[in-house]
Amino acid sequence: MKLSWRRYLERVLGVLLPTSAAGLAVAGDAAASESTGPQPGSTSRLRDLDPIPFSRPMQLNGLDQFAGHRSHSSHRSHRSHYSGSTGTYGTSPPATPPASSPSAPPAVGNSPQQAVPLDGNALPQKSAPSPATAPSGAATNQGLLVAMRAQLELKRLGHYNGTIDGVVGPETQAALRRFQQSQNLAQSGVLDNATLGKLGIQP
Amino acid sequence: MGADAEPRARRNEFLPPTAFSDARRYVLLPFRFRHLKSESDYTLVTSETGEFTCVPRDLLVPLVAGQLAPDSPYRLDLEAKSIITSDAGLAITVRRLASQYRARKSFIFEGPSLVLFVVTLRCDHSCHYCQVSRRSEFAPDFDMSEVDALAAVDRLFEMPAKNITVEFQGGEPLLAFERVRQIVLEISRRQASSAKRITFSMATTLHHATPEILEFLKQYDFSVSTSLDGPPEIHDRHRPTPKRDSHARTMAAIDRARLALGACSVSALTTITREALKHPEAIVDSYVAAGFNSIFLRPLSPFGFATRTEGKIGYPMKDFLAFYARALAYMLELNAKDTSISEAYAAILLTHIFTSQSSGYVDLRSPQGAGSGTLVFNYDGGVYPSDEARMLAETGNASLRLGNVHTPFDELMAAPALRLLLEAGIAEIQPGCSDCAYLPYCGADPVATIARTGAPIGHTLSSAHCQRHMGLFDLLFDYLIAGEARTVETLRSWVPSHR
Amino acid sequence: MLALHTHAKVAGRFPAYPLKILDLTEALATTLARTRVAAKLPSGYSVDLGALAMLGFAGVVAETAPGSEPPLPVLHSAGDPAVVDTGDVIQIRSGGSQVRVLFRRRSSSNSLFVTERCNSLCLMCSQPPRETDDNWRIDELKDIVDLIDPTVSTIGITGGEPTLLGHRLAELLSHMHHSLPNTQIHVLTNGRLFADRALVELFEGLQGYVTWGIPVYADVPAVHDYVVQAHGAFFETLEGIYNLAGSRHAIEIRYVLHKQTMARIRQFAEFVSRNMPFSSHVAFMGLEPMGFAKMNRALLWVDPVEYVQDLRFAVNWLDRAGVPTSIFNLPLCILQHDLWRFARKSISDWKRMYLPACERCEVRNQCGGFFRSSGSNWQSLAISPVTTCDRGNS
Repeated sequence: MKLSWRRYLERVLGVLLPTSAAGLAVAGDAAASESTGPQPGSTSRLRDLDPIPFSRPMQLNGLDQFAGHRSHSSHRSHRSHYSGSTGTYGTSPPATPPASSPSAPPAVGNSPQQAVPLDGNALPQKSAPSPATAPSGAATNQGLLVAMRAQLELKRLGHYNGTIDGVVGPETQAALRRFQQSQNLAQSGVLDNATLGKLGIQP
Repeated sequence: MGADAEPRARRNEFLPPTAFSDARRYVLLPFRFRHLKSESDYTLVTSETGEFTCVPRDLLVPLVAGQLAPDSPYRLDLEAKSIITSDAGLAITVRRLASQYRARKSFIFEGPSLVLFVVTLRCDHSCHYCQVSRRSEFAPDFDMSEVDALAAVDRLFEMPAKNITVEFQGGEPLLAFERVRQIVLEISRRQASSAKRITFSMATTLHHATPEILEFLKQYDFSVSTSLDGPPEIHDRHRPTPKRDSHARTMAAIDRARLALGACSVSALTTITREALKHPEAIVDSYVAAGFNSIFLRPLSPFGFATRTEGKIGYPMKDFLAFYARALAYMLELNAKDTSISEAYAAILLTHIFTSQSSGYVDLRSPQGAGSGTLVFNYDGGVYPSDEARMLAETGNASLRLGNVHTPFDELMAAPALRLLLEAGIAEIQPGCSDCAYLPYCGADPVATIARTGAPIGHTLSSAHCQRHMGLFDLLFDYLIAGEARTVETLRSWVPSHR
Repeated sequence: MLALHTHAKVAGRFPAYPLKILDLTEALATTLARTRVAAKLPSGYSVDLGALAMLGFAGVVAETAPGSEPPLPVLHSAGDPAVVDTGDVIQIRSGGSQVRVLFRRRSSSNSLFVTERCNSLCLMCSQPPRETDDNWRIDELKDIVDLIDPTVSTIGITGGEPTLLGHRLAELLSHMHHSLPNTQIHVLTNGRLFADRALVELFEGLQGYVTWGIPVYADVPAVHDYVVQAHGAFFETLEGIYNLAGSRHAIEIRYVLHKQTMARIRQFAEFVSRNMPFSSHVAFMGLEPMGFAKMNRALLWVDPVEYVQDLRFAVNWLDRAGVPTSIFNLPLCILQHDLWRFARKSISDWKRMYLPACERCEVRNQCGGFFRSSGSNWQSLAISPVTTCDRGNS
């Protein structure tokens, strides 16, 4: 019993009172043969004592959704004799309050997914031939893109009823003029910057 | 493990529980024990960091001898509470204990974080049990001077703690409200450019709290604590005012303060005199009726001028404990009927029992908290390690004075008096404390020992401090070990939560 | 209850790598490389597929088959068209007969599956492990990550045991954090390998962006090691938790409720509050009847009403200790009103269902429902619709 007590104090109090701990002599390992002492080998692992702080670390977001309803703060009892921080685990910044106090618990999902196991024969391709973000397109592609986006929007607004093909033909020009009229723009029938702006398209 | 996982699972070969229970020898970790009086067949055991469980009394010797049976029903709880472990578990268990220990004692790194400003000795009451050497309401020369007040604020900002509570006391601090205002404004002005977070509180009768004063207190988010000894007969008996109307005025003042500051910021405490001992239920009822959900049943202090009246109003600690037991039982009954009322000191003890948080309560710490956790700036410019030390000086023993408000903080902390207190103030090495099962939850009080015996180390077990705390812990653990679900939940709910 | 896969037909040949589905408007405006994108055609519109081919799209998704040979691949006639929606990431295999959804924009719970291997063998494992070389998964997952909306709040990492991938897991998480800097990553792991501090160091810099969801099934090794069928697992897991917490990583403790864990629920709550108060979250989870759980039903199944009182105690204990606590996978009728604030809709939408009894339940929309896999022998006898008078009384 004495062996583990002394060794323990040496390690533990050494965190707080280095001078007093240094004075403690440690009984020899031979005494470990008594049935309640630790085995000789295991005490060497005690050197990795390394206590950790009990404060909660900061987080990006995410688990605030688990915070649930926070009740009113508890009655502050007689404050005399209380120092500034009424018993905490340390000085982590306070958790950010939840975005809302929902009456329905917020949706979340974290149970392990049932993945459909891939069959062993399917060798996946290596990464896609092009990176995920687009390189700047060729001029024709850019024009095609913008024109198709404009046609979609014109169709959504009811000015255009033709094919979405990216070609500013007579039908598309007519639709543009109808739109430009409704927006008090010059009825050029052309996809100028002002028209694009009103269509909500950034080229 | 993974390599043969699939074939084993296909063979439905999940190993039974016996393959995983360690029938081998176990290792003892440091623990302390106390035979329970209420259940004489059982012994309470507490780990180094205050985890607790109980075992049958006749198992204690086999437990220590390494002969606790592998299938003993107590084995799992002992293991979970860090009383025993296996060789394989030793490293991580000690690491857990070390982390809990570190958390419990981390207040050491803060230094003083409760600062008391005794702004005046003047008071309009002349309470029979008063510890303060009060002066009449109109006596001159018993207020803190401006020079001293500003110097004290300088000391405050030399302190290393980030979170500091500043409490105003007296006499009656509202009689020197201008000084209070000046100090608060000065602190607020300087706080803006420091990283400190300073909160204000005041111990006051509230009788002099005008609307202007309440407005000021609200503006600076004060908490106020006042004395309410119980129903009028009890309260007025030992708290005489010229018109004998202290209770009525106190109740009215509490109402006004609640309106202005919010109910959460107004609390009250009792001082229990010999007469009050006969009426635990009535005192609790009076607090419930007054709308409080917390009551602090405070025994008479043996300090200062209270010793003069001890003969008339004093009592042995065992009488207080009997009173407290009745009051606590009554409060638990009320809680079972959904009336929320907690006892403030029990809440502190329960916080120490149920959590490893660094204690915010400076008066029950080891290493002791006088000076190292709290400082008192007296009206005459003296600096003391605690209110009790200041009162000791008022009765003629100034040995614990650390210096004055113009002494730099570092010098105050290096005062021989403080060193004396710290050397005597480590319960872990005090005879009487070092083997006590309640050590992890308790604290050292060398100031009280000096007041009683003249020396910082005395006979612990006969001290009022020890009798009181042993008695309270015995009472609380009787309830906890008996384990009635509703009671345990109620007691657990008294621990302030940190959501 | 939308499935994660469907069948469809394909005209032409899609690439085998993961693809982002975007409706045509979003597809034309996207900053993603169009070779990774399949545009979903708005119904009733006439769209020139040649133009889309010229723009380099990987293909299109249409309701019906194209007329003649289309200039780019067309996925059409999906068995369940709702399965593949704008924002989703899919993979088309076996000539289109199998369409897998790898990320679903509308779902609140997307997970990336990193390995089938595991170093434990939990009695109730819902994803029974397989010993197989699946290092290739990380590369595919990085491709998928590139296509995930950066606005998503949480992505899960699951397996098997993800830490078996060692530095490749760190590689994936770093990649995720780089592409999705505002997304919280939630990794399910038994934490055992983190007993080695060197592994913890591989994840340096990710503190605050990753949460480690670690199961602990008791306050003593005898019970925990039995449930996970591995000697020494309890101590390794605790050591791992301490190493992670010591490096300021966020830890979530998960506790599955069944017959083998119900005896020490209260003691477990106290164990967590005393030894792991730094936990960011504790989740008490109802049992999912998948995988090994079915085989081990006799060892595991217990009607939740038998442990709900202990659960109440444990949840309140931790809540008072300041530890954020939740209850997963248990319906509101069993939990009663005072516990509802802890209950979450945790069952993923694609595996959730409600029972006929739920038709008349007034809190059906708040309730997380049941696992689709739970037949009547996995359902509590206490399931019943909640009505106004119940809510008033409890």
